[in-house]
Amino acid sequence: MQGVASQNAPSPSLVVPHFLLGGLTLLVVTILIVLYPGAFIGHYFNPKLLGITHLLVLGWITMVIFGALYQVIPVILEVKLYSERLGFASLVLLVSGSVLLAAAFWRFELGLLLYVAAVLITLAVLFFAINIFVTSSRSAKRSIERDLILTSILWLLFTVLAGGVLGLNLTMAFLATPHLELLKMHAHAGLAGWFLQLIMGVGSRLLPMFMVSHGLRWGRLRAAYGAVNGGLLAGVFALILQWHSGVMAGTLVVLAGIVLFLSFLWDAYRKRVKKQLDIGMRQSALSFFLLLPPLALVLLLSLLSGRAASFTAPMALAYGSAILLGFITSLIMGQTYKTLPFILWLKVYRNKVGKGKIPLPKDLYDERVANIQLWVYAAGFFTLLTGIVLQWPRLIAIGAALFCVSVGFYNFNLLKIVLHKPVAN
Amino acid sequence: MKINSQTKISALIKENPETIEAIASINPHFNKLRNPVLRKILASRVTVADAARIGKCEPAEIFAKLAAIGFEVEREETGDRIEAVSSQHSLIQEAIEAGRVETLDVRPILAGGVDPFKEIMGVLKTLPPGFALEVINTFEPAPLILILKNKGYLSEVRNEAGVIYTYFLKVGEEPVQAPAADHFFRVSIEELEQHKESYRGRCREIDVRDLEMPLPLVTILNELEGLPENHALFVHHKKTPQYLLPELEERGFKTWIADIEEGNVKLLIHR
Repeated sequence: MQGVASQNAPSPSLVVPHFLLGGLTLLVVTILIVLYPGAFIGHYFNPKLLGITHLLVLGWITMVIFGALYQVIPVILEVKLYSERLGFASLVLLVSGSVLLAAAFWRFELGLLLYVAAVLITLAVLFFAINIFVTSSRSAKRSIERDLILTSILWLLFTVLAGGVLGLNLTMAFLATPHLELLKMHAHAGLAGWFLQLIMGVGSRLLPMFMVSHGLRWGRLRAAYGAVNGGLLAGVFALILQWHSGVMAGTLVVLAGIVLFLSFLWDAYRKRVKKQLDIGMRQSALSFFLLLPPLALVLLLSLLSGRAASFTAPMALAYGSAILLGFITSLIMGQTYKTLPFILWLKVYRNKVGKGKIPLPKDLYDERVANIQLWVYAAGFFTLLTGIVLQWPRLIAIGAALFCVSVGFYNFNLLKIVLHKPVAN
Repeated sequence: MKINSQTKISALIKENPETIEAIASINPHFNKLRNPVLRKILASRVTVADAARIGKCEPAEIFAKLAAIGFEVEREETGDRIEAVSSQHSLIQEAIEAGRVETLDVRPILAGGVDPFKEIMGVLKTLPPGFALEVINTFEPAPLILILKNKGYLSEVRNEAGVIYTYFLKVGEEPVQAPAADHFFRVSIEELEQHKESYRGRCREIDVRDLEMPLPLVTILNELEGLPENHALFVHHKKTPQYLLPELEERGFKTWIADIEEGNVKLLIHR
């Protein structure tokens, strides 16, 4: 007979602020693009785009992931989170670090401001990593989701440290490998090692759960885990050594891993018991279609490496934007509707279940608003992407404006969910 | 006054001071109840069920004595008697094996009529990290275990020839998530089937594997609210329901969990 700890869920006061601050940051990002569409014109290595990108990946994507993981990790590992206080400390550091880093790039102040921001972010990530690794060391539960999540955090640490070294290299120029090549390494450690792998870990648990699918093909997910990490490692070394066929090979192996992951999800989708997808799952499904263009683009870009930057730069911009503002942003917005209402519902109604009529999590947000949000988002994103490909600032601004309206609706529902008051019977 | 196994000894004494002699007469283990200091420490925190365990007798013996002095004993479901197992913590085991143990024999202190609480806390404060404190006593210090649990200590109780050795080891600042030994039981499927058999004819069965969350939680709690007394609910689930367990504990249910394979977990829930 073995003991079972009962209350493992973290306090909503740790998880919820991550969603709210993330939503707010995304709103600021879209406003910045409306005001400065020129950031997406020309080469991607420009101060404004560096600022916008770091605000987006840290203040929106990483922010929501941290919050979501504090909730999901105890469920997957069946233990309590090691420390909520450490989580709060990490949150404060992440918010201040993201804002300062974005400001440092925006104004291209590569001295003290950049260093302070880098230290704050490194500490935020370190606190988060310690929290998750200590938590997982207390659990005997082994699973592929656990491996994916823990490995993704190692890549996050690598990404942040590499980013710090690159920051120093901007003024000191001590690295032998060209700066922009190392920037690719930093970006892809973050994109594939951290974001994509984390999505694989959390998504392989949550998406089949929301679709109610049985008998999943875990073998495909394990193979995907090996391919993504093997390909990335090979790619990183090849980039440092500037061995181009090695980079190409690494890219192909990572792509194979992504295809394996998608086939795992497709299989789960076909086996789903719940036939009708709700609004949160529809937006999530859309995000996986948005993943396809960047997959084709990255293949094309690695084939074209060495060609004139004037030719490849818009493609590189479209590639990065499609992954970050398309795939990942859309997936997070969709999954927010599946996770956040549940967290708040649990807090408000858990002890009322079975003792009278109560609403369900989906009753906590306005479904019409969520629907409009999805369509305005799709219109905004495609306009924005077209503007980037055509290098047309006005179209970029129009796309960003639509995007901004959609994020406004998203924030409206976030607040509606968080401010929900119990319904009296 | 109506009483049951969860009634506090202090409540009994307050209602009728004869309780002290009635219980003390059961066996010498209960002599400490005659000591005013010990009575103050223990009685307010110990229930009849705890007392039976500490005094190594059946709750029925205590109830018999209490009924004799006028208490009304409530009928309780006499299911399988669940032994509260003191969990074996490998961390404590490690400390003991490595000799990282400080010993405090509180028997002389208690014999002098003094509460050893301050002394124990004093020693704990000076203990280096990773060291365990061994408290030697003649009974299980249930209240102390509870207080220290909330301060982040693991504990383990060993009984060797009537002498009780209790070990404490600090593992954090926050309350220890002690295995809720009396609410949740991880068992094999055979044990679960056996237990289910004892509810033959009084057992409802539901399958929540095809429901999207939070419907499994809602369905199970709805079923339980409508469950007749002395009945059990057998649940086919996909996983150990992390969000349901605290609610079951709060509502006073016992849950038996058998993990068969990935995606297939059986639960038996009853009061």
